[in-house]
Amino acid sequence: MQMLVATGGARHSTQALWIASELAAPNTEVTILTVIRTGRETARGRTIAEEARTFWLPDHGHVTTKVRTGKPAEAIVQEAASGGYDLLVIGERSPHRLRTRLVGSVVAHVAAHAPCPVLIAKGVRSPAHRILICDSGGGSPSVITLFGHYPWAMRWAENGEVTVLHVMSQITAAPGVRGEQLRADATDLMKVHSPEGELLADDRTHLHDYGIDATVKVRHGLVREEVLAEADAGGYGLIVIGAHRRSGWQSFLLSDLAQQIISHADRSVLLLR
Amino acid sequence: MIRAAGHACYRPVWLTKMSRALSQRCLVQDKQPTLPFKPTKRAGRLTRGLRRNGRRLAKMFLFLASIVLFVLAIGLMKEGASNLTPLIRDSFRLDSPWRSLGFGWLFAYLIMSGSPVAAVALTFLDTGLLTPLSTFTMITGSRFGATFIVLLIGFIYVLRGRSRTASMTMGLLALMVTATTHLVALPIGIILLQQGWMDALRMSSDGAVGSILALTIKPLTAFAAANLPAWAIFVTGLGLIMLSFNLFDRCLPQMTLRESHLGATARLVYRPWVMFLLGAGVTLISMSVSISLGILVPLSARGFIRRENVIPYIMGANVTTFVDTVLAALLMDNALAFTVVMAEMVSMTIVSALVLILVYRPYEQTMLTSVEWCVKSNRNLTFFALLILLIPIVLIML
Repeated sequence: MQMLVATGGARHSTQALWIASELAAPNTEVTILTVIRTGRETARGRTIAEEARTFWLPDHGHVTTKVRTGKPAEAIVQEAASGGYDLLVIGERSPHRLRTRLVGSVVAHVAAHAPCPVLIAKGVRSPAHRILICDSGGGSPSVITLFGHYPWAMRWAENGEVTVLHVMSQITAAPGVRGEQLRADATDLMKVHSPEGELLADDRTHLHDYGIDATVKVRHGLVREEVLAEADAGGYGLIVIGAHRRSGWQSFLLSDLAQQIISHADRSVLLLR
Repeated sequence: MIRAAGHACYRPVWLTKMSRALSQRCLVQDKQPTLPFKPTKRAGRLTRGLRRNGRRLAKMFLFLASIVLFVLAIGLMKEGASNLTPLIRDSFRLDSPWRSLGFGWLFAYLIMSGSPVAAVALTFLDTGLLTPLSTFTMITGSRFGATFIVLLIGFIYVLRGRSRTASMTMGLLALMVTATTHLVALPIGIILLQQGWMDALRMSSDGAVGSILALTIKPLTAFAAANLPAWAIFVTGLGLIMLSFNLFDRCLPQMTLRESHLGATARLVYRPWVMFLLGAGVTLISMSVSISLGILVPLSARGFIRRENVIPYIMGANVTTFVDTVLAALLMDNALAFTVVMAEMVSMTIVSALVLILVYRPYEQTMLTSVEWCVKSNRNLTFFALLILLIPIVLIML
């Protein structure tokens, strides 16, 4: 596995380094990337990178450091694209919401443009003990298929507890429509073979095929709020979501729920693509 | 005796008939046409073409008829209101903005529509019965009452034993979003009017329109004035305006979106401003909030609409719902009436923009939580129903 860890020396980057070192397997090849604005900061950049290297024990695989010059978000994405990495790990500072909305954040740009899965590392240092996989039912391939595609993700799941969550955000507009499904749990939905029930049953079967015994859950409400509430209520350390990369009119018209979850979650989020 | 959803329940026959009639009026129907004979292929195509053109012509005729009736209704209501002014002034005492707010609210409940009440408010302004401020609050009250029809349909389904949550959610959401945004817009609109900041926005119909009206409508209103008492002229005008909206509703295409691509796109989560513009656009075209909210029914392809999309859509609908009132103001040839309506639109636009930009997430959560509280139990729902009934009554009595 090839892991790219972006660090700027700030506290949130330190947290990301801790988490990355916990998640990395012994044979993982780790590249620590520091981005500096101008050439005059080269010495500082090298210092930050070398300090980050100390988070890895000598027997924890091969660690290299890199210092790039430019805008942090763009440089990180360029390195991720050129290096063929399996996972990009980045920390996030507590965002000033209005500023983030107006100016944008490094994490938002990286999450939107990185060619590989991105782990936005925050919260507990060992996030993989309890994993919450959020499946909206949209996107092809599904988030479960993507999850199973990465051996390192499967290793985390084998060592932890996995829950698959689907959030039903619908409300009825027609008085004549049956409303029971709007309050049903996963078991009821699977029993009546509703589309949501079928989705969860398929997810559980797929994970079982990978050797993972997962729990399935349904929540009803606003997607972002319910995902965060479930993560908090269940004590999950890692939220796994799919990145629905949109272009054209879709990116202009549709909300970016993944970005909303990333910016509001107080725990690690793994964005799969 | 009413039991929980899913069980047989006793209900009076008259209620069953009324609920069926109302549900037929408000739900989109997907009727398949049937032919009395088995046609050949070419004859079938010809027949279908003729039927299609016939339907189009009928809709064009209905559209023209609705416009003519609308214009005639405004003229009759103006004529009737001018003679009814002393009676209404003595009976209802609408000199206070709060009383006119309650009056517009209750009036909209009574006729289950807000646009005719808004038009009535403008005629009262034209006759001097209402001040611009009282006209503004009466129009605001009409908006509160206008969403009642959606609630009433849902309530009837509850009485018929359907799920309370399924039946009431949309109506409650429409009412709460409308009420909260209008409540915040009320002081803004009052300031706009009182400070004279809207005085630059004065418009009346030009000479050409006035000439056409003089030739076509004035003789009819003069005939009515000569042969009917003032209250009958007013009531006739009110009835004609409701008929004109009814005819206009029938002109709009039936939306059958069971499993079409448009139905599928309704399940996506759109940015709030996109849904806001969509709600504003649909209401601008249809000139009716009941249509623009009712169109959510066929859009619920599997019977569901996403929570994230509904609230900004309703907010957009509440801005352009005043378009028909603007037309009424222009037809009345009263520049002040136009200013009052524009104050409504501008204040609602300001409030909607502020909510969407600054506090949308907390607002969204508050609305959805409030709706969930209302549908949680019969007691909560009854309390809410009493509240929205008593408040306008109290306002009238102030």
